[in-house]
Amino acid sequence: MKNFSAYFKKEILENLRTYRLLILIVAYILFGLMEPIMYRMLPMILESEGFDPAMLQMMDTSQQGLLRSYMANLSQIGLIVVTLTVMGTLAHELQRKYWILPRSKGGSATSLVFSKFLLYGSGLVVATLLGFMVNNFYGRVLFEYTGLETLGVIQSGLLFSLYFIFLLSLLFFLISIIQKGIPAVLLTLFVSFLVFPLLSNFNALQNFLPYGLIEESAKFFFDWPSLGPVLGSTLVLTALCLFGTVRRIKTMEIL
Amino acid sequence: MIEVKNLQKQFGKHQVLKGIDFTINPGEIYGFLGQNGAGKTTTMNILTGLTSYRQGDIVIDGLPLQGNIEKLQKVIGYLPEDPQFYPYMKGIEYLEYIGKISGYSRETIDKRNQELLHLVNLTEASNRKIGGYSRGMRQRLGLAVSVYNHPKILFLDEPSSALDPQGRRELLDIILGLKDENTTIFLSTHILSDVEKICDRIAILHEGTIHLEENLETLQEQYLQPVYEIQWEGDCSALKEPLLQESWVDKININKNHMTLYVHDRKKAQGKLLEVLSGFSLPIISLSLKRSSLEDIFVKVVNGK
Repeated sequence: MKNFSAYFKKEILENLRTYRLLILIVAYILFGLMEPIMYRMLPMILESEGFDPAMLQMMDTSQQGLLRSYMANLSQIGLIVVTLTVMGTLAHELQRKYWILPRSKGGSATSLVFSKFLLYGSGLVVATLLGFMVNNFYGRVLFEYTGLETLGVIQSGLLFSLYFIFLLSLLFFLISIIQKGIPAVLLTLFVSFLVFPLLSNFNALQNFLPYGLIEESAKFFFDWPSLGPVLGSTLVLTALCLFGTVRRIKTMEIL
Repeated sequence: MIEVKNLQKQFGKHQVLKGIDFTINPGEIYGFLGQNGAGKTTTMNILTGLTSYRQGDIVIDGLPLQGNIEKLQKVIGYLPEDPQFYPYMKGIEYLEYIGKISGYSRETIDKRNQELLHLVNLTEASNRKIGGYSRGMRQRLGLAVSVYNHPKILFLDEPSSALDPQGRRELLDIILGLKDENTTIFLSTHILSDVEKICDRIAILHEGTIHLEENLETLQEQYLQPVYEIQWEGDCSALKEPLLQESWVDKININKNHMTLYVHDRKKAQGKLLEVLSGFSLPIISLSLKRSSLEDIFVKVVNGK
């Protein structure tokens, strides 16, 4: 990867000036804070609205339940926030033709893609871990929970962020093909919200779908027998998406 | 320096280039003219390795383009028609980024940045974000980027289209300065007066083929119109009849003391005109052979006249 450091520094500068990663981290932490508060407030809200408090018994109000609810929100609203925030970084390079001048100077498509992937991938891991830790800490404060080890929360956060990292590579690949941000975001959401849940109904596939990482992360430990195949297939698919992106950008015709 | 043979390019069903051939000599400024959509930018993108081509042979600096794009990009500079930059970057930061991508050392980058900012007159604006630059400033920054690597061959696509008259003049001076340093320049523009000022040779691309390729001086000579403009000291209407008696005179238009004389045969007219005119008692203030501007030539070629 030629002159990777130049590209990586450029990505850092871009983030310092456009606040993309900061937006992500703040959003994750806010979601992490909101969940325990909602759990705390919900009984009072239901009571004031005249609902039967017995309804609350249907909710999993354990420490794990709180984190799982956070994960469910992140995998929906969080994914929308992530894809919309990140799409511009690659879409603008291609659509607005920022990429032409560096390319005419021998710029490397591999460095371009991997510098973005490394920065946003790391950002997603940091944001997810921070969000999980904040959620867990605040849950403990409000509900005086005990029992769930911090290591379990970290393991869960890592697996969860890995799923998002895969979706990031998918988003990059789709942008490289469509060369437009919003349609690529919609397709990524379509894959995550519809295609994966549908495919996970097939026994032969469910152990190999990256979507399985969300289920694995809800266990709060590395359950290697079931995690292994999911992890392996996710890494392979992520690599394929990234190399597909690089290849597509390298062979892209500039009109 | 650049040899192109039978270059063809197709977008879908539309064949943009139908087999063009041209050669550009080292140190030459080659003007590439054509209407909008004629295929000028496509040709530039192909020659700079940014677009593939269907058929043809391209040799640049002694190397076939196919298979040597990365090597050739080190000796090529390219300024696209509307260069795009990261708006959040400052001018100096962008140049630094290009310097690093090109693999230069820290000291070389610092030195080159200052040289180039001075060259394109952006020193004062170098610490401003590019998002706040005018189109002309972006064009000048693009020029700095295109010459960053001291290219042997520079491709300029409509470089002066966004510049004011002062900026255009400065750009032409920079281009002539680069020619003095023996840079070969491939210039696409629709500002024909710029071409007349700086180009050594021109080619006119029309409907996917090169309709004309010529040395500029020879071209102007070829396209001299058989029309003389004569200004007399007084009313010259009485001279019309006697002049029309001459076999080589085709038509005469008169407006007070100004006469436009159309001839059938320019060579014959050159031999006879002064002799005939000197026979009149009315003194002549000026006499000139009307020259075609490049614009006239361009319109004639494009319209097939």
